[in-house]
Amino acid sequence: MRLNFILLVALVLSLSTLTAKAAEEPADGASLEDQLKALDVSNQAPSGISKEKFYSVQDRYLPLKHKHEFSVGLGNNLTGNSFLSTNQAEIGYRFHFSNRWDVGVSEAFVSNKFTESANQLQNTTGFIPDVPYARNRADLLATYNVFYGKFRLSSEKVYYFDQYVSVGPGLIQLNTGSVGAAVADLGLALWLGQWGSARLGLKDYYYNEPYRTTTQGSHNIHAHLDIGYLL
Amino acid sequence: MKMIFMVALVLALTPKVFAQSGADVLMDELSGGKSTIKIEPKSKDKEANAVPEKKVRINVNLNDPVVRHLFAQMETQNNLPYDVRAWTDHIFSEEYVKAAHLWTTLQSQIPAGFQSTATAAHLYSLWKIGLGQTFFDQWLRNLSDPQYGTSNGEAALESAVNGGLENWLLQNSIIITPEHEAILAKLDSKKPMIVTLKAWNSLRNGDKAEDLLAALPADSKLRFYLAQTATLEHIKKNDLKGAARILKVYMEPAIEKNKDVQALAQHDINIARLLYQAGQMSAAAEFYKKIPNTSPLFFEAREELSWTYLRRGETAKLRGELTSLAFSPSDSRFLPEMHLVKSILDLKMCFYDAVEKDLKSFNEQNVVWAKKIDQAVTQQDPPAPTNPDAFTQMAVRGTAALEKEKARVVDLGEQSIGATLPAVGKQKHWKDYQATLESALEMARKRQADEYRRQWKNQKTILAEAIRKMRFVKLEYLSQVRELGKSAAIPGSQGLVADNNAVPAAALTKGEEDKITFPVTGELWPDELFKLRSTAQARCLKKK
Repeated sequence: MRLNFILLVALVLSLSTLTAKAAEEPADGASLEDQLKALDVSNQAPSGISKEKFYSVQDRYLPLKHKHEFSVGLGNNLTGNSFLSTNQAEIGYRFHFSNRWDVGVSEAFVSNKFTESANQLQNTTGFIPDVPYARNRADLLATYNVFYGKFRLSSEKVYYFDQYVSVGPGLIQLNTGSVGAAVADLGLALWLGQWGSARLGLKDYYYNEPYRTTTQGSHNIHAHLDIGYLL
Repeated sequence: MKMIFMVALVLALTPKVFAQSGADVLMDELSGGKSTIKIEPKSKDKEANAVPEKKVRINVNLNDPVVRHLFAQMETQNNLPYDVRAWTDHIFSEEYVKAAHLWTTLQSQIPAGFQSTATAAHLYSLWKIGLGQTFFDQWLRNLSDPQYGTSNGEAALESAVNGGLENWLLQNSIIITPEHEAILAKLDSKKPMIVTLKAWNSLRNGDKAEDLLAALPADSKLRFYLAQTATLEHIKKNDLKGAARILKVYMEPAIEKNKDVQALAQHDINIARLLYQAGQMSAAAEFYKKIPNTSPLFFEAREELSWTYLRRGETAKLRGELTSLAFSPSDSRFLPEMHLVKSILDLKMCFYDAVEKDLKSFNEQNVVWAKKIDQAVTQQDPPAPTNPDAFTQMAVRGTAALEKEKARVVDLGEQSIGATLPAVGKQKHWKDYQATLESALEMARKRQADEYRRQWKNQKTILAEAIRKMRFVKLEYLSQVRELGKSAAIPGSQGLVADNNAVPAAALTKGEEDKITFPVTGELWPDELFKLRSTAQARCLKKK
């Protein structure tokens, strides 16, 4: 008798549970809208949420490993002798060992013009300034890309760049003969699509300039812009 | 007497000279050159020398197999009636509409030996006019006659239309009636053209699709559709290996040959789904990632990719992926599982307040779709689905083509009143074609409605399944919150883990040295979508 009573209670309880469940969960035949309504919950959760930071994890837009880069460019000497205005046209090649490292050679064809000061000196005294000048510059530079970054000019388009630093030896062909040089270059390489580059930098050729009576170490810092094609 | 001999000699030589010209042209054609021949049409009047007639010269394009066959047959038939010759002149002049108008009036005049040639030429006119369904219907009806089916005229017609048959079928989305099916079943299955037609008929037939796939050439465009049908059939039988084999053996070569980017995206997502079903999460993820962002399948693929991250426990990537998905919302995208996956993840990481938000977002996002779907599946003529798939697009294309063709046939029927003498009203054959088109159009509309309904029903199943899973999330969430309440009430309980245990940024790219990380602050840049990773760590109670 007691066992029967327990079984009956259990049956009623299980049935009521099933009914409750059925009330909570609409039948499969119910409309999707009704099924969605059954998912509503009131505020029950403890407040506070994890402070979450996001990072964008990307590949390089233009992978450089084992790429060849050919370039042409123009430079202007910012720090040369005040009697000379010096510009140069450059051609270059660099091989990228990795995304960070590359080695390149370049040759610059220099054009020199006397400045107004030199002309005035010549006109007033008849003297031509004693300034050695470069005809060609060549260098062999190892480059390290210090950091990779990006910027945008509109909400749609993103541009990528590397900030680089290069050092290496150079050879300067002066009007008086050839001299060795220490060369350093610092600048930004902007990547144009999957094929091109625009390098904007400051390149310093440090070498001894032989004057008529003396020899003097001289920095020749050039602002340069080179456009490159990558293969 | 000499004069008679002279005339006889000229008469005897003329056909030879003419034959020589024809042979030269054919030789030229065989050597790849394009050639035409100018003929002067024979005329009853001229033969009778009754009225001096202005000479009309017609360029006959002998590169066209049907024209060449008609030209050759016409030359062998010495007693062709004038009207039949005039009709052939229209075809030689590529005046196919004029030729088609004459068909009914011509019937009684075509000699028995010229019947199959004339029929092929008439069918060819219909093809050239662009009456796709009418051509197909008349063609199959004629093919049921073995005498026509084995004729040289039919062979010429086949060689003219066979080259572009697949593209033509796909563009016109031709309707195959039960009558057509019965005829097709009796035709020789070894002929490539018949194989193509049978394949077309079986695009949605899972039982036959696989056999026909093997019979189609590797670059067949129908392979893409047939392979999908055959793959689905294997999946229904839970035969993942068989489905993978179909994709590998039939789909891949066809896509490679046709260089179709959208087909490739469809192929990749199919492979990804199979791998997911087979439990190969990592491989599945790679295939999901292959879908380009220009593909209509892109967001669907990213949503499914999030499941692979969830199954593999890659929470940093998963949170990033879901953030990207939420960042690119659109009313036209049906992504019911996006908030479901997020809620499961938040629950797993004990972000309970986030789970509540997920449930709300799930409701808000899907209630619009629920209404649309509930309405669409009950309608006899459901609205177009938001993202019609390849089969639906084909059905829509078919209905539009048939409506256009029906209007054209009605117009041609009107034109035919004045096209023949005496004017006896619309030509009978145009009336017959119009009736056939009406019945085909009815079938096309039904096919379109079926495809629409199929897509809505699929969406209903997907949404219902998402809701079912969300119910479990809700129950589990309520249960965990209840447990949390109890443990917080116990003195000395730790509650949730403190909220300062984020993963360091460097750890996000562990083992991926080539990757570059950018912190996301404020606005998300366009190149950062779907490349995000989160530093969040689970804050669940540590169990002792």
